[in-house]
Amino acid sequence: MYSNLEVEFINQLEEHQNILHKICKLYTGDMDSHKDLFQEMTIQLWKSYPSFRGDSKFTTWAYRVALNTAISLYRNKKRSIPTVQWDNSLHNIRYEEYDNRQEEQLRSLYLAVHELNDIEKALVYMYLEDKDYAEISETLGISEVNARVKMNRIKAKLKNMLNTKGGA
Amino acid sequence: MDELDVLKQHWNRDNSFPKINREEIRKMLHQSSSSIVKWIFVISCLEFLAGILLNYFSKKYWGAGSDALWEDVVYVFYYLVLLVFILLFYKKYKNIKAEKNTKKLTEDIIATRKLVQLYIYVNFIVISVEFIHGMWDGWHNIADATVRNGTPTWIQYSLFIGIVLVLAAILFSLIALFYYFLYIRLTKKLYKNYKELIQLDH
Repeated sequence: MYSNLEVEFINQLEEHQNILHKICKLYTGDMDSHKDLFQEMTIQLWKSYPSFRGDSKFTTWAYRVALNTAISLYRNKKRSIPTVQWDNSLHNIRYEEYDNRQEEQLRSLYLAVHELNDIEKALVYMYLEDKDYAEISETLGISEVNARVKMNRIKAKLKNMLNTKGGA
Repeated sequence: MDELDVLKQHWNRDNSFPKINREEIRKMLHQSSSSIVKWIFVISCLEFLAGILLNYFSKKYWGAGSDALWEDVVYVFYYLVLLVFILLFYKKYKNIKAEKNTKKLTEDIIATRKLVQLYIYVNFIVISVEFIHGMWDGWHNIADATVRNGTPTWIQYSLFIGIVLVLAAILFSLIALFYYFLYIRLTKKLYKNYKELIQLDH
């Protein structure tokens, strides 16, 4: 019974592991922290897996637990999170797909997102994953209106950050 | 086009992540967690244990001379309080579920942390009372000895007060430092994120 559950969990997680990788990508700045957070999210998912009854999709459940781990439960072993560091292997942009300008724009965008706080990153993550405001508000525990207002502020903040950097 | 929409285009196509295989996932499941809650739990258990040991030893050394009934009553009461704390803390700890919404989860962790804080205050009061009690005994011992030996009292008294104050300063700063490192650093990020969530809803 127990090992069946384990096999089932591992199957699901292996298939949907990109959910975790994408959260790691927003919340960590180097490969070590990425792996560390990935592991912590996996442990938290596994710990709460018995209570996952399948009434929602595995992915919907998993991203919430994983996001909560990144925001509330995870303790970075390092003293500070290097926000400016850019690890190319981690933020792999396929160079052939983009011209230099786009590539530079993406790089600046990821760097700007890294400067946001944990809650803002969560909103950005859900926005990028195409979650609607009802789901965003339910996940974070804030009202839908406030989620929308905050999202607009984040967009303005990012625009501002990019303009300041571009102008300097 | 919006900046985030540019990012979204790349985001959806991005599959360039290290692939974690089944065996690696299986290994991770059996690794120990580094979560804040786990550390709060571990530290609190150590505190409960330290509280019990401290009381046991202080009773053994200080309590040897006097068998006052009120002391036994205080100890029994203290252990009852301790038991209630352990039960409450375990209940709170069990209540923490990562599936809840972020705000609720953070509130649950902070509530657990607050309970531990309350426990620390109770312990602090107990330690202080014992300290004063010990000081009182010490003072009287000196007084007794001086009556017997007839030596000058003021040097001994000031020496005694000096030593007691230094000891108290060391003890309390150690305790303060201990809690600063263990809890304030541990939950700093949590409080920051919680404040941000609260601000969002106002």
